[in-house]
Amino acid sequence: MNPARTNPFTNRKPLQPGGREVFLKRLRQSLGHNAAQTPPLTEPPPALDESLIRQCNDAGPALIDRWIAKAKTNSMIIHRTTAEPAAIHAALDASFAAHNPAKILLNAADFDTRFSLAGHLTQKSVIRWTEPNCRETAFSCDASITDCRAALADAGSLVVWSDASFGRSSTLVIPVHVILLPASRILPDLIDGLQFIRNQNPAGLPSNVVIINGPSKTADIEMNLITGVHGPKHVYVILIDGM
Amino acid sequence: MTAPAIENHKSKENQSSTRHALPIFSSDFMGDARRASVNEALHAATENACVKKDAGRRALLPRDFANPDGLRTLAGNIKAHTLDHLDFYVEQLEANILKNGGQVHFAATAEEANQLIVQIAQQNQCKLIVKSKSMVSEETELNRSLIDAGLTPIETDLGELIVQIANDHPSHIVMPVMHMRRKQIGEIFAKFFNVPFTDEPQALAEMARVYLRDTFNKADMGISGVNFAVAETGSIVICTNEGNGRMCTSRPRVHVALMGMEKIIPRFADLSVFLKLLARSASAATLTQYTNIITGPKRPGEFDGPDQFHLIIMDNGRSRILASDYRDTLRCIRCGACLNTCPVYRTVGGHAYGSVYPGPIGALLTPLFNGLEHHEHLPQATSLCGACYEACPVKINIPEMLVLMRRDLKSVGKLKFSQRVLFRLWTIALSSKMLYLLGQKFQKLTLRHAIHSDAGWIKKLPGPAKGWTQARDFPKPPAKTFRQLWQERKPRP
Repeated sequence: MNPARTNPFTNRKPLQPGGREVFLKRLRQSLGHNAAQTPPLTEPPPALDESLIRQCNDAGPALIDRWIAKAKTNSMIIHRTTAEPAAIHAALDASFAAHNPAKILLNAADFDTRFSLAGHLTQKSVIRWTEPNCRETAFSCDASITDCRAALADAGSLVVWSDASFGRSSTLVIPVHVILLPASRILPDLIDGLQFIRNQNPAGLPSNVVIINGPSKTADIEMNLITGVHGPKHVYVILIDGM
Repeated sequence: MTAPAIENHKSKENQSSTRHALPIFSSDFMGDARRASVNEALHAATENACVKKDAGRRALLPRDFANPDGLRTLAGNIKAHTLDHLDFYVEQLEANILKNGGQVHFAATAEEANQLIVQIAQQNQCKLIVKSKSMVSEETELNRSLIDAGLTPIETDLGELIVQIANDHPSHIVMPVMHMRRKQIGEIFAKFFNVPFTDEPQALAEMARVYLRDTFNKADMGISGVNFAVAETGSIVICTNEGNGRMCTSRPRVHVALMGMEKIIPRFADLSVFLKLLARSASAATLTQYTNIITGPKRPGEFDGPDQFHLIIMDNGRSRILASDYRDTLRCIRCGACLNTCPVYRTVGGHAYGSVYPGPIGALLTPLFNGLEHHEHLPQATSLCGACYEACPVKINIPEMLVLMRRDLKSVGKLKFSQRVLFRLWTIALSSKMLYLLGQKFQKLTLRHAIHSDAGWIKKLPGPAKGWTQARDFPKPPAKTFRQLWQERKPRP
């Protein structure tokens, strides 16, 4: 133990305000460092022993099955389809069956082009993210369709992040959320997910990354599980094989 | 539904008294604990929540990890390393936040942190403020300062909203209204929203949803806490289940995050350790519903997100703790596992601790922040059973530090005359072989032949020791002392 450590109950001088310099000086002194300058690191942070952290190392069909099992325990509803427009349209219809949404936000441009999603939803009012005022319109939508960047099998998670074509609100403010997930995007573990996020963004992380583990929920009232407090109440995943 | 205004609640603390680093709701631990320990409704609520979470944590960790103890050691070591080099990591975090287009402010005290937030609000003409659940904002009594400055803060976590409407205090760091029954919550909502009474949880949550949705849309500013701040990427991480944290940081045009300076972790990859441990320890889940990693404000071309991102890094006495034998308390990730597992917390509830940080970790943090002289009972509010140490995901040795703190009672003049005499005599007796042996003889004579002894247990001790046997039996000393046994068994040379 550091012999220079002080009794925190008898050395109680009031902390002087004064912004950054005073703050850092006090911090350095409390660590026994030179008050004027922060010393360089003398040792690296402890090595991350993967054998302690990793929960899933599956590949292939086992990986997909593991993700499905975990996602179901997270109250996500999964429709597994082939990469054919008709199959995806059927999965969309199945997802919307119980909700009959009138106004749908579409934030999956690549999928729309390839599978003609809007073309299938001609009976609905479809709003595309990146339309003017989409931020405001999103609040009044009944359902949203988005893609995602990755899925993680260890906890049944989905990974999304914001950029010029993908909004924060698309996955947040709308009661019914349908997510398109090509099976090839499933990764085994959170460790791989974090690595993937960094690799895909070598210049720096996106402004807003979210790891989603199912619908919004709370247990604040006598531990009763309630879904849909602020975020989506229902989360559907269309899991697409062969894409 | 109309959106009623939340009353201008003042702090329950005496406004004229000196401001403490942490607000004190009560300094009468003994009285509060005695009253709470016979409150059956509180017991039922506390047991229900704590037992469930504690059992869930115990089941999940060995199910999911081959070596959960090793994982906790790793987490503790990463935190210990970060604290030992905190000046380096604070500067690295600051540099990376600035690089990402955010702004960083340093606050020495709670009051300074609050005033920085008020200034940011005023400079940007923000009036309506949505807040996601944050223990550090309870520490600084941020809402009081915002209201005093004419601003309107609204809590958006369901539990915290109930606390705010009822002008109450959270009783648990993860489950703020654990002490309330649903009937009580129903009554609070019926009055506030002016609607017929219901205690159906889904209906109550729906009322909050409708009310807060409107608020999220109108708010100018969002305030959040920080679960982890990643130094190497300049990111902050917020873990929520309801999605209110995402609302507060995504919709308003200004986002302010407030953190104690100990919240830093060095590397992005460290999140794999901490996110897994936090969710299991806090809520017996494999991951929180939403793990939100925020790196600066909205980028050019993006359609939503805040225009400004501010991070406030606060000391408020943490530097004093860093310099002391209690540095390890700053490893805490506020999961609440030590509360859920603690026999004392489960008996007296959160409010008896009189502070925003209750339970075993609170029994350490509260005196460290506020001075031991105001909280002399807290280091005694433990059976030293060690359950908190076993539960802690970052291996804070809470029992050991509670004993250290009992030692430090002397330095603040909080040891009674009788205690001082007793400890003095004890020291003399234990320093002399002859006195030690005499003491042993005396102890055997009095205890082994105590008239009330029965089947190996003593039902009643005499004189000043009778308090011990009021609620439990005392073990009868064995027929032979350890020294005698040792003499008998020692191989002869």
